[in-house]
Amino acid sequence: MRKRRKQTFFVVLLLLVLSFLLLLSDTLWHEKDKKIYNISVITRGKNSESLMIMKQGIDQAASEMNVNISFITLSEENSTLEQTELISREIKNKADAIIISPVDYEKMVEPIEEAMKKVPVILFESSVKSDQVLPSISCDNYKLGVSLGEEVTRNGNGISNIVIVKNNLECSSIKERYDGFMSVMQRTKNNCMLWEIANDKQQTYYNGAKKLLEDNNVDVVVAFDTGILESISKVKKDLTNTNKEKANIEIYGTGSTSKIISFLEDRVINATAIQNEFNVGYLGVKTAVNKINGNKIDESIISSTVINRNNMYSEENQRLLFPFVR
Amino acid sequence: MLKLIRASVQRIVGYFKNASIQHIISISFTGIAVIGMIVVGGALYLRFINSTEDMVSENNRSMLDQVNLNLDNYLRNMMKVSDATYYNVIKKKDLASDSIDKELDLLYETNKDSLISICVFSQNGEVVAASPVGQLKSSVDPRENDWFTIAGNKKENLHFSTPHVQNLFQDPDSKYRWVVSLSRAVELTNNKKTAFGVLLVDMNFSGIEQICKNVNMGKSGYVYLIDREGEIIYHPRQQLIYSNLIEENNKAEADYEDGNHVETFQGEKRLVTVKTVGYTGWKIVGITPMLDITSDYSQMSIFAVFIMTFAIFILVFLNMFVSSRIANPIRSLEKCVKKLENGVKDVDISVRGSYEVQHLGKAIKSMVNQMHILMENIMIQQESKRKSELNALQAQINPHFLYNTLDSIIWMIENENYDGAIIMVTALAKLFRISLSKGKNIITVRDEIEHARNYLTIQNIRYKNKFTYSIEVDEETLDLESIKLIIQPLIENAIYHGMEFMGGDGEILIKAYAKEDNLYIDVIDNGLGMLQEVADTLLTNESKIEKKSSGIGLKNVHERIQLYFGVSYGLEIYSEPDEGTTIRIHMPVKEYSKIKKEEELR
Repeated sequence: MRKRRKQTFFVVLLLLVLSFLLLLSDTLWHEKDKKIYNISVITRGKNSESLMIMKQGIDQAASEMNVNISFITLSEENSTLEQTELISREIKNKADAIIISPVDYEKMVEPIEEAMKKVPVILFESSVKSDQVLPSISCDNYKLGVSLGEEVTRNGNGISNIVIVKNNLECSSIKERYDGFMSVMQRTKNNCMLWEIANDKQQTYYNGAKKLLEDNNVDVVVAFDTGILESISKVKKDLTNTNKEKANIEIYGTGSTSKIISFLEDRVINATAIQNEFNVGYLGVKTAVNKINGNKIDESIISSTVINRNNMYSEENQRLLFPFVR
Repeated sequence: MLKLIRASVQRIVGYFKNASIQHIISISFTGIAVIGMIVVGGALYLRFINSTEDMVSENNRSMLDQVNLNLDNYLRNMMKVSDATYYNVIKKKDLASDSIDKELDLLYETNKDSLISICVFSQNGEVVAASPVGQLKSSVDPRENDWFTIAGNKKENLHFSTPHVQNLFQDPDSKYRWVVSLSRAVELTNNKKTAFGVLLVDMNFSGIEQICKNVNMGKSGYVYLIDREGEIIYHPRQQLIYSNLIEENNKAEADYEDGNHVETFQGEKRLVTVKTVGYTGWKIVGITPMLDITSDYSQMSIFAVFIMTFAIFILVFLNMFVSSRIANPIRSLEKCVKKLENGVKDVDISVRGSYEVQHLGKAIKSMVNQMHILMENIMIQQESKRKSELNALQAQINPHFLYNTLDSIIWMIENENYDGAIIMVTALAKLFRISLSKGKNIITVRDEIEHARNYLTIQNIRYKNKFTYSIEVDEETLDLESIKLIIQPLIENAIYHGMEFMGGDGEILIKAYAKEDNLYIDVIDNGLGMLQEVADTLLTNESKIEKKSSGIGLKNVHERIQLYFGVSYGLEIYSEPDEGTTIRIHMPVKEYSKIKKEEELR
């Protein structure tokens, strides 16, 4: 009787101590439970200023959600091969998720679908031709093209000669913008000329554009690529110094590097269509983290705006164009 | 309800009345300990919660005070720059003759870290002086900006703007900086004429950011800055708010008084601490989610509950231990007493436990010993009393019989029957020798039989051979012990009651034999006999001593045997009318020599 009582006492004591330890360790584990995610971001081109705002968004999200970001840019613009290699390299490096801006609508389907089987893949800006539902963070590029087109017509271009720089159309975002723009142009009597240039160096853009603007009777130039837009603007500015008439050439495009903004301010560029790149970066990482944790992903739409000299310093556009320096 | 309580109280009281001392001690101690633990633990826990909230509030307040101090310092510095520019430079110089660029440069250089630019604009928006020197952008008209118009409207006051992008001067790097503008209306002296102008000091936004960024407000708390209208000046997630990805309750918080508030925003309860920055009307807002504070609570409460159960458990055990230590000796003492009550002798009374209980045990022990001694004394007294009684009984026999015998002897001598007289006197002498037996009560069966024979001899002569007698004794019984003078009364009885009224031919048979551990001596006559029912009453008190008997009845013999050997021994009477009576003496078999030895040992 007495012995049994002693035994039960020790058993209960042991249980109590054990559960206590369990509780303690549980709370301790809970503290350590903050997992750090490794997420790789693979861009569509070289490191350039146009990626800066997006990177800020990524960094903001990374610091909030305990994410280790490896931000990878291509050594060559729009290289399918390099991007494919990078994807497999990052998966090998144990990335928890990949955020990628695919360079090619068709060619990148296979590597991305392959990668999807191993880690969550989030697309930003552009997408790929895939039957699978891929989370994609992007504005409505078609609408952006339409808005830009409307801006062109709003500025009184009804029967103008419009040169459209055709480049990188294999990339879905640019293709959609182009399509949107052309849908507006088709309703007008504008004479659209397409100028196709291959992926090349900045210098060749410059020379090509110079030739184009000098030789032809061009009223409007539209470029959907930030780099080309910068080059063309520079050409226009340089030409204007010698030939005042060339100042009448209107330039439209997309992107928001500080060069573009300064051209915009100097009225070299008439209008630029931009999307909220900060949000693209932020939501890209957020979606990736949600996807890793298997949470539901809410459909997010990135806003886009056309900015011209007059509205660039409005409160909203200011915030969109000039990120805080951190 | 009241009845129920009363009933339960009564039940508890009833239980305690009947419970053992161990139960009472352990249960009541445990009850009190548990209640005490819960009260103390609860009180401490509540106190902890209160103090944590107070501490967090206090901590937030002091944090904001610190931020305020830094910010105030920073802004005051900027205002000093503005004041210095205005009072020490602009007011003292006539712009027509003097240039103020040098002084502005000096001021700019000394505050380069926190300033972007210092410029003076004329009424028309032209740059009068600027540092660092820059060319105004062609597309910019300063008059369109808020800072210009507000400075113009509020003449004497300094005006702080919300953060905006500085876009006044051409920059070769195409850099755009976020600034907070400090503008004021100034009087420009130009050619001794005073005119209205605007002095603009653009503060680097990162200066403010630095002050607010690294404020520790707990796990997920933060500090942000709003202006008088609630527009956000600084927020750690400013870009997200600008991008509409998250929201902040800044508009509502602009109306809060300084101090701590609790609000619920987007379903999250949070502690808001507000502090107004002097002069600018800006407000520093510190946010601490309640979850940060309360997450500690649950852990703390679990911890507290655990500690409490632990302590209660230990206490229960301790109580049980202590109570058993107290109660066990008492209980064992009680058991001993119970045994004593039940008449068990030689109880070893336990003397252990606390001093009091030990004392009790000792007292009881000595009491019991005393009792035993007393009882033994009583027994000895009883024994001696019994012995004297026995002796008295035996003494009773002698005079009566002696009188009769002597009477017979006299009668014989008178009739000159000297032979008979000699036999009689010889038998009488033998009889008395055995009767005396040196005062011993116990003699051998041999002597007792001899005694009976002598008696029969005497009686036979007295009754003139009215009866015959024979004695059959087993050899083995001769050396057994017997009480003195037990057969003689039976013979006497047989002669008086069995033979006296018979015509003659009376027979008396005396048989002694041992059966197992029992010694039997039968006295058998063939007298009148009686009904068995009558015979059975002879040995009880109800039977009256026959008038004719010698006064020493069967009962005496019976009692003597019982007194000496115990109640299971004594006389048995078997009788049948007209057939005769058998009186059987029943005694245990005991060797006479053993008794002798024992007596010698004494």
